[in-house]
Amino acid sequence: MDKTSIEIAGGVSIGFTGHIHCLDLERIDSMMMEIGEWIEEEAGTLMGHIKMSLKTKEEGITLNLTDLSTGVEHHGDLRNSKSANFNFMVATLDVDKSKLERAIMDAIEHHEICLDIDDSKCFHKHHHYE
Amino acid sequence: MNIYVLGGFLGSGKTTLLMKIASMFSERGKKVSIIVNEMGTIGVDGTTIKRQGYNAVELPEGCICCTLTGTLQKSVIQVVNDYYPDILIIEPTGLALPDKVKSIIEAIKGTSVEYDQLKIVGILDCLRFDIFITKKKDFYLKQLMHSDVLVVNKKDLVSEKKLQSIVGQVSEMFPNIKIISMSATSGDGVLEILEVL
Repeated sequence: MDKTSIEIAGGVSIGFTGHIHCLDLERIDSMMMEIGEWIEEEAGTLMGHIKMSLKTKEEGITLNLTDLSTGVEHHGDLRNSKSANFNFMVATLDVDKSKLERAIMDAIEHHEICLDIDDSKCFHKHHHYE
Repeated sequence: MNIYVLGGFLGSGKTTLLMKIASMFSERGKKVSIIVNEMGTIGVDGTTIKRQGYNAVELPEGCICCTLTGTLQKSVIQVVNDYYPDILIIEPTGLALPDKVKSIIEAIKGTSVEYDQLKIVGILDCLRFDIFITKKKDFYLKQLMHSDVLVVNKKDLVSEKKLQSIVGQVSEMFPNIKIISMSATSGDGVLEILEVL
């Protein structure tokens, strides 16, 4: 059977949706940077991206990390919201998927990101911090 | 209707360029529809695009050049029938091969879909060009080689000397393809791309 283009490139992707409480964009940026740094350590470089969209009825913002030297880019605004629904995804190359899942969970815990994850076989559903 | 396939590696700036091009076409009175593909189960770009008010279809969980070929064809037909766009922009996943996407769409021309032109815009990332050429050269070049125009993006993040070096290398690799340098973030160079399209 022919390989797909994703398989040829060595692509790995993880994503989940949910609701985030106690919204703190700085902490989310740091969480994304930690994931990026883990990927760089594992694969030698970050070839891919880490993205998160956060939205409420009135506002929305997309966070995007493709290069550690430039940091997390913000597109949109969410200044008036304390919580939001989110979509989160990582697409990258040359890392082990289960280790990446672990790295994502570790980053969420390290930065005390308070969130509920929708139905997911890979992740614990609730992360709440005092 | 004109169809544009925006190809390029993960993080090269496809979505940012897509939004700029869509905005410029809209300002010129064109009706724009968008199909965005994400290899993972969860998409993010579709949300971003819809938030800007565009008709967007998101195709997650695979690649439209291989595992989602049927889904892509159905989506193109559906978008054309539902929205009658003047411009259809397709953003495959960053690990897709754009020439395969083009072939898949060509296969349905004359059935439910008619178009005037179908072009591939290949996008390169200045900042990580050296890394991709070093680590994934064969795949990277395969992604770009069938482009109708090559766009060297993120020129604002490198020196002029570096930019010219990259443009020179790309010119040698693809001597018959027009090359435009730009910054999708600032919009510098996007008008030139629009004129080529």
